[in-house]
Amino acid sequence: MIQRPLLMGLAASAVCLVLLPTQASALEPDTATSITSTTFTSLPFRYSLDEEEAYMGIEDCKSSVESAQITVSYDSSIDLTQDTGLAGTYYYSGAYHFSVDVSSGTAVNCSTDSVCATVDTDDVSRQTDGADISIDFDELSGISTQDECETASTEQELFIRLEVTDGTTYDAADAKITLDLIAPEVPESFTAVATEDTIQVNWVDGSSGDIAAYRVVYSTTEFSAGKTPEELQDADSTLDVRLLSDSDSDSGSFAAELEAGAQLYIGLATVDEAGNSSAVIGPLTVEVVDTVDFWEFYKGQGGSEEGGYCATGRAGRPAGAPALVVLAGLLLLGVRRRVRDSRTF
Amino acid sequence: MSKFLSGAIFALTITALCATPAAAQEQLESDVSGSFELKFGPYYPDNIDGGVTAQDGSTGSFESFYGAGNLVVGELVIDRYFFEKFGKAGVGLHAGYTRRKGSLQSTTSDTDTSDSTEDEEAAIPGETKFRLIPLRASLFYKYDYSAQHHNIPLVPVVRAGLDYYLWRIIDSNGDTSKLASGEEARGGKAGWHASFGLHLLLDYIDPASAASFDVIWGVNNSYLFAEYMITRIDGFGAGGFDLSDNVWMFGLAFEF
Repeated sequence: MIQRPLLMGLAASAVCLVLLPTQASALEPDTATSITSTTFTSLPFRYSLDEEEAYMGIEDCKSSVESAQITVSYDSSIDLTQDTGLAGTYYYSGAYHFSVDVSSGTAVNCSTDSVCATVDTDDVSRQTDGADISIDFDELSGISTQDECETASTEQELFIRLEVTDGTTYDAADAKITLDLIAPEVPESFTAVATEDTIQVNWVDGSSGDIAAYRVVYSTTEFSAGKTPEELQDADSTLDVRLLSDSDSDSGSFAAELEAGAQLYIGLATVDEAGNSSAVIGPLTVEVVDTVDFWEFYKGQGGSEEGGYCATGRAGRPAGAPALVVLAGLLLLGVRRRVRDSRTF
Repeated sequence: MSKFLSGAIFALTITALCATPAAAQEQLESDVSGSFELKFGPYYPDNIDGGVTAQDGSTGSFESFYGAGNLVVGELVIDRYFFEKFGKAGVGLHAGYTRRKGSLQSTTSDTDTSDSTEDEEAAIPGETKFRLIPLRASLFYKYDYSAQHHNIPLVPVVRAGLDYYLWRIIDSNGDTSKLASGEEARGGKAGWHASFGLHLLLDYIDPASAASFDVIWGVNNSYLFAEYMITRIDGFGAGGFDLSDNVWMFGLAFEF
């Protein structure tokens, strides 16, 4: 008989096999037994955040590079104010930060690897049940100007690490930011349909593998392609931009209040996991379609149904009312019969 | 007529095969006061639009929005007996439900409005729904005397009664469709129905389980049945939507 743990192990292995091809290159953040949780408590911009992991894109980089500080809080089951301890008990060892290329996938040991930089002691606040590490974004990323955010074209993984030791072995807890400064490829093509209350876009993907969403830009005034949605909106604040986040689909729609017959310009851009937008393609020129449902069409063609719950028959004879009276009569008959039955016993 | 004859011969054959002369088996059963039915069947209101055709005139307008495929109606029936001597007669209350999603249509024939190079016609986004709640009250007669006393597991049932169908059309925003004049797409439609059903008493297949079903749940008899129902739901000639159809329904009945 196959035991449950074995089955779970087999299932986990199967999941790993499926995930391996896409995740092999990423360096996962370390977790330490004595560090019970790792949380970003101060992050300048959160596009996508999953506890101890976050993503930052080009716009996040530009808004953070001047003055932003990132703070990570670690909860611990040990006293982190101690720098020494008895054999077999863990105590504070150090706070580090380092960056690796997104494709490296190599584990880092800050006790031996020179890639790690020590966080200044003034930026580490240690308590008996945890610690906070604060670090400037430019120090963490090595990027110091907004221009660099746009021109670097790199994808890095930035780690903030708290390390503990028992004197012989080291244990580390990481917070990780994926800094993606590479914009995704533009969509290959798209079509669009607009009605009075809905815009639907159908697209064909470009070559980027990390598309997480699409941004639709639309307006009744014409705009130029070749810029990101953010740049277009900066130039013309009347442009509407909507995010369609189901990247697994090849189409998406959203509600919009439009005037039937109006001419609409619609553009499309891809968005990656870090929130970077590609340049907008298009715009397509679309006429807002005037739609009807069955009721509107039927009535428009002279259909005689009038709705309501008290229909009248030919020449004004009430038609629904007698039916309801008879229905009620039948119900009453059944109830009376049941009462008589119950009296019998 | 030949179909009727062959059906009658088949029923008689089944009766002859199943009947045992000393049939009447005395069994201890709880009192029977009514039954509960759950049934399903295909339904399509062919004449709902009263001749209002699609834009291209090729089909009815209802079909052009909701397609030609049948809707599936589910229906619950509670029966109460008021006569239990030679078969059973009583009154039944029915409530059903069905719905169909459909597409919106452009008021113009050309719906491909984008100037993309894609060579596919873009569908109009949004959907419309048609919802129907058939309500009925019926008088019925169920001939189960032979099933109870002669071990014949077939029970014919005839019904007739009055109907009131609640209908509603939902627009693409999920609200009741409404004209600019304020006329809303919902209402009720009265009519009548008549049906003939043949119930197969399942107790004969496994009497022990049937007995325990009675002891534990109070269900005296279980039936599998087929029923042919004629409905005329046109407000007794009031005009407007005609929700009539003749349908086959299949289901289970539990007598309690």
